[in-house]
Amino acid sequence: MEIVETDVAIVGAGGAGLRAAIAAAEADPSLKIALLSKVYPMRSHTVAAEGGAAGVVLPHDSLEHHFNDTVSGGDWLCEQDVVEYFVANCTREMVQMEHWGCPWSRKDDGHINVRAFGGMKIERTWFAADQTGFHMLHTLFQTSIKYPSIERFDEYFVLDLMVDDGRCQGLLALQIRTGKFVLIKARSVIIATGGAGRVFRQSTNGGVVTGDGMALAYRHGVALRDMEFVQYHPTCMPGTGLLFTEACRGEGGILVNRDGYRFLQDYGLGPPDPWPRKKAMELGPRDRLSQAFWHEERKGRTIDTPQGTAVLLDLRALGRAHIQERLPLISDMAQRFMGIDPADTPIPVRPAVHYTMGGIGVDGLCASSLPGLYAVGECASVGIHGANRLGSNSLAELCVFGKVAGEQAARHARTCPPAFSSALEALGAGARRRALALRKREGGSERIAVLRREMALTMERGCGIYRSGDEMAATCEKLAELRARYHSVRVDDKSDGWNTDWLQAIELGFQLEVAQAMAHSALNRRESRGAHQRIDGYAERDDINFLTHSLAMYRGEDEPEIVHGSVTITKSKPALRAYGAAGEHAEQSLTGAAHD
Amino acid sequence: MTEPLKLIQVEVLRYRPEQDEKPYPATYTIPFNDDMSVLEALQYIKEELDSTLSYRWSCRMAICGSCGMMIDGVPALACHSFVRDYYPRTLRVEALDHFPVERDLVVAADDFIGKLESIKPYLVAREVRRLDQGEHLQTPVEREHYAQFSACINCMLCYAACPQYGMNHEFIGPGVMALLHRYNEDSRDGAREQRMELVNAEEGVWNCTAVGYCSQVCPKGVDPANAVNINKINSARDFFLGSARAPDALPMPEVPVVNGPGYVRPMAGWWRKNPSFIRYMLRESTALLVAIYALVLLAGLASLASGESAYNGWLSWLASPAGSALHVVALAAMLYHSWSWFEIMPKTMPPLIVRGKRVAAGVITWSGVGAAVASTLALFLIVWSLAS
Amino acid sequence: MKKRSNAPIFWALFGAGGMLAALTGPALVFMTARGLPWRSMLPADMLSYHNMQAFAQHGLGKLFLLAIVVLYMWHAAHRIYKSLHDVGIHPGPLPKAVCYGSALAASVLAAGALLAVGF
Repeated sequence: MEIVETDVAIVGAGGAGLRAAIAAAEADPSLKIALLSKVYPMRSHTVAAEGGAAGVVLPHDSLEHHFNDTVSGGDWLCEQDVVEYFVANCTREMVQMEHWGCPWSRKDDGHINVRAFGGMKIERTWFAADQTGFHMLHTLFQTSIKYPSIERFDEYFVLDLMVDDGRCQGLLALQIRTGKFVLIKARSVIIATGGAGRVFRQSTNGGVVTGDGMALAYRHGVALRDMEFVQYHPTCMPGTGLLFTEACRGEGGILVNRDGYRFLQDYGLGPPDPWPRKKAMELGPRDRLSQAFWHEERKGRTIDTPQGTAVLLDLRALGRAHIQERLPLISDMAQRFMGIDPADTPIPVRPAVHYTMGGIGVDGLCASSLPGLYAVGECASVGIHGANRLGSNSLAELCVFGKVAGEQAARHARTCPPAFSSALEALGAGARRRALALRKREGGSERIAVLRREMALTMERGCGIYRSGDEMAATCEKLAELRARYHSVRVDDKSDGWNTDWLQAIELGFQLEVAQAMAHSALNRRESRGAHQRIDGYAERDDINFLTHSLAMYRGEDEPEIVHGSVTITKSKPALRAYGAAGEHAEQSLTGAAHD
Repeated sequence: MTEPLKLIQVEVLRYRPEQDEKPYPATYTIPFNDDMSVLEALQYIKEELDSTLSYRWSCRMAICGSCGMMIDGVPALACHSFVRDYYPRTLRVEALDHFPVERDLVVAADDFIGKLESIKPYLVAREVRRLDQGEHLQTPVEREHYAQFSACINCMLCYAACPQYGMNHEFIGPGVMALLHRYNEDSRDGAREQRMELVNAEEGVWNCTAVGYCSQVCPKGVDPANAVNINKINSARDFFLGSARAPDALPMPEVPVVNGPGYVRPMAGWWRKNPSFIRYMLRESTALLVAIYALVLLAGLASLASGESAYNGWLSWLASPAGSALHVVALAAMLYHSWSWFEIMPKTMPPLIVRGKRVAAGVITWSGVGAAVASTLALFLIVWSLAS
Repeated sequence: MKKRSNAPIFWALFGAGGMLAALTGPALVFMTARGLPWRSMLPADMLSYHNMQAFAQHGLGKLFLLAIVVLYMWHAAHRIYKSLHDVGIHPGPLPKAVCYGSALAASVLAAGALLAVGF
């Protein structure tokens, strides 16, 4: 087996992984950096993000406003000290991206343009047409080419972390092309593998988003934090789940039900006019909008499409020219996939899983509880999103914390003991044996596609927009059954190279464990907060018992254990989470109180 | 879903190097509805019929660039192609042309990646700014100037489309040249002179023969043919008028050829497989008639210099059956040359902006045709006035 | 470091010749098609020895005739050279010499003939 020694190994080459690699390379050009990804970097799912990245620029905006929007958006489950660091560094990172060539959209005077986004009081979302994630990813990838100390391992699949002597010292990876294994000994490991949306049936996520890194850390005793908080994006294509960016609404689009009625006003987000208006109606936070859809569906006020129920996203008022300039990608998608021209016809949309707020628990320096192991991006829970993420905070997170993770990993690589454990080769051989056993097994009775489908269906039922104890418990049971059946999973393809049958089986293993962490965390949280809403008697927020993080701990073949962790509150005490008129009123009474 | 599902035959070119000597077609019958993309068809095959089928995919929305394949002989993204458009014929799916086939529908992308990395594909700021000084200013017009070329998703369809790349992997190729152009045209960038070194090489822009198929297949409207051919003008200007090279700039390393493992498919007969290529060869072959006609005129000049009887001999040859036949063929060739010349002309020019708006390709082409009609009339007028 | 290509020279000639052929080719072929029915549309003595001699002896006439023959040939030579590659004859000193050499020869002969015609 090939052995590679490096200083910093990064798993995942999306926005966060690339930013971390660049930061590590800049922090110390003498360090060796191995950047691994199971796909070429530009295929990472960062590429599909559309709307924008947040950073305070307008003179009447402030870090405090961004902080408050984020903390209240997260329903007060955020680590407030981390949010303070975050908002203070967003703008600098966005400027750095611009210096690296990111083609931000501009105002006529040449300065950066910002637009309104859901749940944000003032415009602060930097954007590059409606393909911000694409442009950021390509800018980061192309910029990373400048640094000779970054060695890329394209299309390498990471199978396991190498942990010995109480610290993470590397990983075992598989070269997809050949099926050869490589043991990478690393002084620091950063996981940046993205979310886990594909444990659900309908999601905006690409095929690669299978929670690999979350499972890797989880299996080695690192807590998965706040996994029950899964964001349903309110405006996705029925059937495929493909994303219609929040920017559609930021630019003035509206949502109507089968009666042509802007139904969001019935759910505490009104009044409907004037429009557009921040933090109201269609610019409310995503969890609220998805929840409104759920209610409308129950009331029979959604339209029926061959791919399921939907409401209508109406962009006609924007005009063709404006749509072409600001929303070209979604216009093309609607026409290509649905035969709809948004300038003439409203688009049927429905919620689909979009983002995993939870993830590998890390502190504000991206360090996990396992020394030498860092995590950043959607796979991590660094504490800024809490119970619900605001749009455009995620792309900003990749840069702000990508830099932190890279610098911290570099510092650790310089200061940790330079010698690697002698046990690593044996650990690597063990992981290799386990992976090969899965492939070589004969007589498996369970098909990957069947297990995956059953998992996705049960997650949709139990961990949907609204949840009940019975359904969540049923999902937990089902997942335990699926994990047991997974032992008999069939891998028909016995080849070494490009064996995607085998890789999908490995991914399914990751997914089942991550799904279990999600379902058990959800069952355990007996309150409603942010994206976790219950309709079985726990409809309110319970700040006395549940202003805590859920920490899912791996227990091998058994169900995970859920423990609680405290939430860091600094400046913003938990208050009423309100939008629309109620939100404005609440804000006024707050400022009124401050003046007393 | 109450309507009965239709069935379609999908023929996939399979290749497992550990078992197969070379790629071979395998046919699967699958049910489909009008929404099903070719990618979903492949997923159906993998999940229900044959789990050993391997292909790249991820986003499903034509932004990650993973799923480029030959679909019905045309380079296309599987997620963006719909089964309904091929029914009731057999849907043929093969690995992307011009790259070695590693396995089934997976090609070795090494050469593309290697070339991409070699062009300084990042901003080399003309004006160095500190972060606290904020952003470089760039107006919407300046952004428009390169925006189109920044939309490339690295899907490599243009490389599968380009016969010049297929025949010669040293050619830098359409997509990488578009990226190079994106940076050269970014008002913030200052490394143009350095990148021109790569442009000016034979394997830079000069391997391109303006087939134009690359732009036809590009799913994002990048128009790489335009990027390459604009740079022929830039390169020629550089050549004839000289360029100022920054004295301390390092020479650019060579654009590499990294073949990557896999089965290499032969190029022989490439142009017969595709109507776009046949049209291209027809266009190129007009040159034969242009040459022959020029030689006929040369013969006329020579006979003119030799005296009246020699010249009259030339005149009677023009009127002869052989001469007439030649003229019929030559006229057809000249007309097709003229038309195809103006048809490709927009691709060879930088954008023409009139009153703040970009002039459409069709306008440029028809203006050219108009100019040809005008010059034809002018020639006739001159001839008539000289005669009288 | 990459060697700079001298392709711009041939390409510029190709471009000039192609544009000239696009603008004048059909008309010229039309005019010299003496055996075809439409010749009755043109003046009968258009291509007579006296007319053509006068034309070729005039400075502008010389320029026109030289441009046509020379640029048409260099356009065709470049295009044919590139197309040989398309049908499997790969670029090299021999194909290059044959194609561009023919164009050169034709250019010299055309210049010679135009001088011999006199002034």
